Amino acid sequence: MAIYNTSSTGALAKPGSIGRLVLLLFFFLGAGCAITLVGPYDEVTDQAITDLANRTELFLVRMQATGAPYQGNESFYTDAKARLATIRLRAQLYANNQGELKELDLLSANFEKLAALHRLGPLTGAVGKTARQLIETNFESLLQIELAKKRSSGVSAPKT
Amino acid sequence: MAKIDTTSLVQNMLAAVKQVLQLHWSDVRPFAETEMQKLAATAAQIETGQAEGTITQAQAQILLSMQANASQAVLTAVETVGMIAAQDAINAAIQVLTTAINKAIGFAFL
Repeated sequence: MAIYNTSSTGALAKPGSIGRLVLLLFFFLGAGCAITLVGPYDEVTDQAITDLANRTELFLVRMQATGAPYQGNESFYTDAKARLATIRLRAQLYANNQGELKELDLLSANFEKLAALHRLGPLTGAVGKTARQLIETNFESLLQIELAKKRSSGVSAPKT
Repeated sequence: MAKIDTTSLVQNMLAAVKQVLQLHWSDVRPFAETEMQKLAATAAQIETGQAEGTITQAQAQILLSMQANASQAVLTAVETVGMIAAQDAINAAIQVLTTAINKAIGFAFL
């Protein structure tokens, strides 16, 4: 194979730059596969996160409407923690998945804070509204990563 | 044997990289903007609630802690999507290069 340089101007078109770029890419090609900086998209994880987000929304809307106390609703928090632990278990099986694991830990910590808030009083009014928005932010951050991973699977999927 | 035109190859690789980066940026930009606005709004809600007496000091402390946590979640998402974008950009460039090399040598070597 013969590679020749037909370019004449521009920083990227300089022979040295092109040589380095091509060498770098040959290095990756030599590895025989696409590079992986972030763990792959996992549909089961995506579904489980979406399901937990739905359950949480339902719970918070109900709490806001009824003003129900923490006592009698503890099961939601234990269930959510268990579901999150299962999602984390699956997520940590993949290499380079630190971002997603950190998001899951942050969500878990915010569930604990939500439970503490609920112990202080009902999740209604300004308290309920603010807490709900903040938990939603945790879920949206997590789902944003899932969306990017799903999009990425079309470009960086391993060749079979 | 066919020759590889490095000028057009680099242009094709850059086009592939740009397309991938734009795709991710179009997703993450509205997300980051919306979430930052929401976080600013919740900070104002906590302050107003405390001033009006609808949020106690103990509740405000927990909500502020939840807000710090949620802010970290947004930044982690932006950072992770950035890494995914970089990964896709490199792989898109590799894909263009692989196609060019295979075409030049006449069979699917890579």
